[in-house]
Amino acid sequence: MRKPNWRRVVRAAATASVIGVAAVLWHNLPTPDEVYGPFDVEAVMGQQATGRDIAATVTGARIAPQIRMERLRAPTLDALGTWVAIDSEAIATRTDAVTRVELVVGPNTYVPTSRLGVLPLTGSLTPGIATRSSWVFDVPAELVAQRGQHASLRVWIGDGRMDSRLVVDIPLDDSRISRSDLIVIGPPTLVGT
Amino acid sequence: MTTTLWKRNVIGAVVAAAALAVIAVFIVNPSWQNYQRTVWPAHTAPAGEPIDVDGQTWRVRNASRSTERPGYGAPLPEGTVLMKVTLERSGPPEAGFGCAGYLVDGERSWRAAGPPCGTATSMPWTFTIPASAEPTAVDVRDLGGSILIRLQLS
Amino acid sequence: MEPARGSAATTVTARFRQWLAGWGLKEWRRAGLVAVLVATAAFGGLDTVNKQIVDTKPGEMFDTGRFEMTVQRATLVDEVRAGDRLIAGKRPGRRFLGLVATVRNTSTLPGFMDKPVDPVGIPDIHALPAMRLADGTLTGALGPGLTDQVVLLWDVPADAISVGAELQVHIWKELKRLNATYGQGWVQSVTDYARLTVPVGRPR
Repeated sequence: MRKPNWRRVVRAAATASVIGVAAVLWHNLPTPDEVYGPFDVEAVMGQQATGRDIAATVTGARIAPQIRMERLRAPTLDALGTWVAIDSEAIATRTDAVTRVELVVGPNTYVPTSRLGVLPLTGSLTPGIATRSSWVFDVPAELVAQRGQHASLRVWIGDGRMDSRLVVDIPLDDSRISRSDLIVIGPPTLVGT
Repeated sequence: MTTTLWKRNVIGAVVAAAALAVIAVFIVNPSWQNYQRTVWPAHTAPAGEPIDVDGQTWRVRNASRSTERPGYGAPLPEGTVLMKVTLERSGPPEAGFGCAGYLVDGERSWRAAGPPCGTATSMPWTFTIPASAEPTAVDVRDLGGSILIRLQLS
Repeated sequence: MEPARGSAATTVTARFRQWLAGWGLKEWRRAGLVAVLVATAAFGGLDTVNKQIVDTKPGEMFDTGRFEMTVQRATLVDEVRAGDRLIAGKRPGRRFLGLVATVRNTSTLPGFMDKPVDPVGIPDIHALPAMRLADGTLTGALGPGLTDQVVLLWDVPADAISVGAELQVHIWKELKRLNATYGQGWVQSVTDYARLTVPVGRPR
């Protein structure tokens, strides 16, 4: 047999391997969610989650079928499902910012209710001044009654892409969660740090 | 073509470099400059000094801290103070433009309460800040976020 | 210009006609294809748009994809009240059109239920935030798994529609789509909707 032309072999092998690697890379490209998604900062109840521009601590939660604001002549409102008030303290760390919030229970996502007007934590947060109040959600009662159910609170600023997002895990059987007949939302507490 | 392979590769590389340069200059650079304008002030005045910008002189007339809110309003939250900075600019009222006042302390900034400035020549800005903050400068920023003038406070 | 040696053609048109005369079946077929494509390009091409229009009536449930909506009745009022609380007052030349509907969110994302509903044929119409029928509070977004009876409100000219007339309403279907960069959401379909007519009553 004639001596093989090594240069040809090497060239063919190199081409084949480059094509092979390209194919593997093509099948493992990041999705747009992975490229543009937020950077999650995880925490549990009672622990402060510190992101780049916002920090928050969830101190507890209250669950009840009725809610009212602690104000003269404020009406008592019935929930469509049941009210879940997440009591937290949030602080902006760099600039005045408005938080965006979601509560994920099971497969579903919920946003804060508009029926109580503008709540302090859904407005603008001042850097260095901690606001202690609640985020209130209306959630189906069956979802919240299940044993072992976890809710995940997500807090971020702006549109969330490529920035910090706080993710707080809230187990709904925890002892810090209180279930009653009426939730009363008091005025917010602001403390300069 | 009878040109050798390496010469063709060089031509290709030159064309690619030219294309990248065009993209950098006409697409990337303007966005980058926009961002840089929100980080680095266009004009900076040292503490206590006025500054001339576009024929108008800007100066800090008064800067003070107070633990009381003026008027009958509720008391200030615990741990916070009210910082009052009065900014003056020479020049006629019509020469004003939409701008907002910010108080700066290192990485943090606070926006002045009230509407953006316009035709006023004396702007009494108030900021609610934590008591532990030590503001170093007051910014005049345009409504897009670019820092036009930074006047140092101390 | 000197004519080509041996050729009878001298002007451009003559040369063009000579070229055209030399065409065989292949060239004519090709020309025909190009002509059809160019002609239909102005009308969106040869693809037919599949529009799905469902006819429904008040009291029947329609699934928009995200919501299960049942339109109940329509009312025309001069002012909007919740109990004895005034929400929106009387204004000259304008009235309020209200559509009462029961809505259930069957998806996993919250949404505003007034978006898919469009009254048809009313000029100068402005949508107002939807309210709960039970207590007159703003509904905001309806969460997944929740059902509510709401009043969808529009601000309409006083002469656009009257009590006793039939109101035509379109309810658009919604599709779940991934966003270009991050996340996902429900967007309104541009082709599929439900069509119904509701008699306009006076307020109860």
